[in-house]
Amino acid sequence: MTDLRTRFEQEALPHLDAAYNLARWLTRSAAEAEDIVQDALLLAFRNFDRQRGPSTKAWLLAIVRNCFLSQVRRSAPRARLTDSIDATGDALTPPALVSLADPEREAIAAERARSLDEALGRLSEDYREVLVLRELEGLSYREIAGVTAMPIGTVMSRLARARESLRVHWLRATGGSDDALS
Amino acid sequence: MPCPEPTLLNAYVDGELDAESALRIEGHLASCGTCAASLRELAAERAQIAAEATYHRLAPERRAEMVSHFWRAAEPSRRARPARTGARQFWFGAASGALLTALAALALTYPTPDTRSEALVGDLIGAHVRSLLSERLIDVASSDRHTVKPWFAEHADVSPPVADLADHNYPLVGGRVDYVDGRRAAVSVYRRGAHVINVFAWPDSGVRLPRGIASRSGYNLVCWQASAIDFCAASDAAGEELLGLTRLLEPAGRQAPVE
Repeated sequence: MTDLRTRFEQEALPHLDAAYNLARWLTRSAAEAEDIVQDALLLAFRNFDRQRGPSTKAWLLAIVRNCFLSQVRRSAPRARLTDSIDATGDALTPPALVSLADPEREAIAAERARSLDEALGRLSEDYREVLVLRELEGLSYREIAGVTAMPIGTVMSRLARARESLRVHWLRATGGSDDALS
Repeated sequence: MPCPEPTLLNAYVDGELDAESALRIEGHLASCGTCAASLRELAAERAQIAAEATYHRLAPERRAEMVSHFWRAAEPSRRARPARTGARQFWFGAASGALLTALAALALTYPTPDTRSEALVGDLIGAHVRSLLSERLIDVASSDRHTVKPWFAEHADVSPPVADLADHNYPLVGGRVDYVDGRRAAVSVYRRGAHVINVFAWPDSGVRLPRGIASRSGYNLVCWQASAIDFCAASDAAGEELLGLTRLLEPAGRQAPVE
């Protein structure tokens, strides 16, 4: 038991940040993310000795995702969180305004970061999830396929669509400036 | 070759294509301005997400609370166990309770652990967490080891070797002085992805260093000794990543202690 605890501390707990980051991006709420991570850690610990593939991080993130999905199912009557780009005409939140005259470069950078976060937040869950796993957690396609229980081909096409969708949302958030990404 | 599907361009940017497909794409990119522009756009988008999207992180004290809450729930002692639980949880609790008793018995017959060593580990974790909590992670911000090392010589009790390991994805971000084991320790600060790694160095005083990867509250420590200087790398990065850094910092022929 103590040995199990030690191994869990060394192999799983270092991915606590990743678990929280994914949960936080999926739920978009700090409190819900903490609940999900807490559930996921317990599940992970109880199943730690079962087969978990080559990457403990991907394995833990898969558990986080499952905890998130079962939490969403529990609160099913609530409106779905997704607002897919195909489904919504207008964004839920008004686009952030970037003052181009702002002399403080740092202030502009902060404004843009918020916009990018906002744009990521507006993507559908499916898209946001693959982008967070790929760009923030640095998982390979194979690992993402493991976490999301999708075939690799689906991961590839979803990631491509997600990036395209983010470009659209992000450009909208920054007032449609064409050089926003250059 | 006709213009590749967007999916393929994405896979190319992600380095997920096999060599042959990648070569074919590169051949096409050389002659197609549209695809070359799409590729630049994709690469810029990736870089921008990496630089600007928020990596949500628990505050260190919240994280510590969470970990201790988790352990209380994961390994409940008999007393702490709630009255009404399912059969499975009962056996889980009973088993861990029996084990705790066995361990307590062991602790009575075995010599107590080196308390100075344990205090040192506590010091190091505390210093690491404080560096993340306060704004004072870095006293001298520089990725140039020729700036950091002389700074240590002036401000700390030791002037350990400092390396810029950006090529190995451990970029040096600066240095700091901290208080460890009663000495002014030189702290080189490296980054590994989103993680901060503090490498403490202080004059060896004979306190036993923990062997291998030591873990406390979700933070990992790897300690070693070289030329009468004690070193300790502390981070929330995975133990393997810490070992990777210590291997790079260790002089050739000397290996970080691994159990």
